[in-house]
Amino acid sequence: MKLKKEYSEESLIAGIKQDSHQALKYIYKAYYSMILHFVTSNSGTEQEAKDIYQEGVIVLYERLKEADFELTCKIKTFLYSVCRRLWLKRLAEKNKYGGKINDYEEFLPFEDEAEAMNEQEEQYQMMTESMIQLGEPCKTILEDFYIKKMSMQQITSKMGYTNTANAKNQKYKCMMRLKKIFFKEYNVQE
Amino acid sequence: MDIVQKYTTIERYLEGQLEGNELIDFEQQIAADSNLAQEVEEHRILIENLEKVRYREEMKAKMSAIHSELFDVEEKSRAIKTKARIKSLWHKYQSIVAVAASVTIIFLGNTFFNLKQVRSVEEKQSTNYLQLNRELKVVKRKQKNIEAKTNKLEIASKKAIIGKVKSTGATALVISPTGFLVTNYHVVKDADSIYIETRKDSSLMRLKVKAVYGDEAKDLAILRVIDTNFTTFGQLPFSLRTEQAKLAERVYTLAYPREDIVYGEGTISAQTGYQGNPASYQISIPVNPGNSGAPVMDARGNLVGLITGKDKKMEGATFAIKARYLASMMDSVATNLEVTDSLRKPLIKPAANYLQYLQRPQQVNKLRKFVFVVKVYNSDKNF
Repeated sequence: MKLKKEYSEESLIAGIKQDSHQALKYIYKAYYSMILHFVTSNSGTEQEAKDIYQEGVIVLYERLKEADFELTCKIKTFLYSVCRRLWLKRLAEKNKYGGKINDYEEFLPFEDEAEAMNEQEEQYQMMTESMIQLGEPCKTILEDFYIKKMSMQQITSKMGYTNTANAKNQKYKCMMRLKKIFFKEYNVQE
Repeated sequence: MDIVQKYTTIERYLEGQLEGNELIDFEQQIAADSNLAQEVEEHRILIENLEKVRYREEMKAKMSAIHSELFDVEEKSRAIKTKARIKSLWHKYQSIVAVAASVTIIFLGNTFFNLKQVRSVEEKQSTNYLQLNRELKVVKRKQKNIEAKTNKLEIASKKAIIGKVKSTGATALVISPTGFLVTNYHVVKDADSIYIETRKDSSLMRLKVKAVYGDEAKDLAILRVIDTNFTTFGQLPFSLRTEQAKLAERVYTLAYPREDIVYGEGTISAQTGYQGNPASYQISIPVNPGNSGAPVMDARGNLVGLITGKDKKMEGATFAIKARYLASMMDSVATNLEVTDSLRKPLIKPAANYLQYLQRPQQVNKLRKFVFVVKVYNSDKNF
């Protein structure tokens, strides 16, 4: 399948910043095979390649949306470098890192940013885990409100509360609990 | 400040919804109160992270859609290629497949033979039923012989003991979701091994149990599941009725006198049992061997008693031990286990009745999950 429109790097970056679906599709298609090749030739599976690639694209998006971030290399190089780093981390976690990596592209070492990136990933993981620890019905309430952006009225009728005041009350209790769980971990890290 | 109100303000502040005096007020409060400032900061981090989770999930969903749109087409074409390959392989290995097929046919023949065997086992089961009758007659004759000798045995002979014959299935009722059941003492008295069985749709569930407590006088025994695969029976829908059931009250029972569960209806015909036994009721309800241990429920789904036996000389006189005695026995077993066996799950008495507002068929449908066949095996052949 071929995408008719060709994008320049600038228009792609602009597309990312505007959350254009076409741009995402273009980027996804353009560099997937590169990462698939990299991961599968460094003892990974197709599924792992897909996971890593999607994480890499998310990092690209997150970085580009930061106000003070400027991409100093090609999108391709950035994606390759991020995915490479993520995959090395994954290999280390699985104790499969043999010390030698088959590389196919130029990459950025990310020496200065490694710490900040690690911290971001850890925070994301902590949040996901905290939400799991939080349990029901809190998880659903908070997800519906903060993640799915549902209104308090919708949540009230979905969860079967008698009125919105009750639902709100429950939401705050849940927030407090999440806070406790999250910051217990967070402060250990600091 | 009310805590919910405080959080609302923090949230609104972070969303930039505070304006004018309210905003100035709140900023002053933050500046003055370091605790509040920290709370605001923590809330900000939390919301920021929740937002990040939301963003990532949204992106992943978008990309997964793109992924299947772009690459699943390729997978389809790959599937077509594999089909073509299978065709060429078929030509290549036709002869081998033919040999394999003939082997399969031989195996199939075996299966038919096995099916035949299964059928003959089933037939045996129905003849088992006849045997059971015969064996009961043997018991009766023996007892008649002894009758003349001792007065004590005379009583025993008059009381037909149901389900004493080996391999007769009696009935057991779950009394705790943690794996306890109750049945009659005479059912498990001489048991080498005891199993409980139930049919869920078409599959058979079979669990090994052990008698943990028995009371010969009350004819009650408590069984415990010792199968390692067992987790829980689930919430019990009935409760125990410890006060006396009224004369002429309608009751029903569920039991396994044969391989399938059987429902029976009757009334409380006397508040005392065999020979005036105050611990039992006399119920006019049709029962058969295998009904031992079957629950007797009242119209609202409370457990009134447990069937123990019937009078052979009297028509329609069935006896059931009162639930009150079961309740007190469960209490003593529970406290006993707490001391001797505190590591395993405790016995929890059923408390809530979920059956009372249901129609009878729905009641029975809920209850039947908690009624089991008890299969007792013993090597002792001299009854």
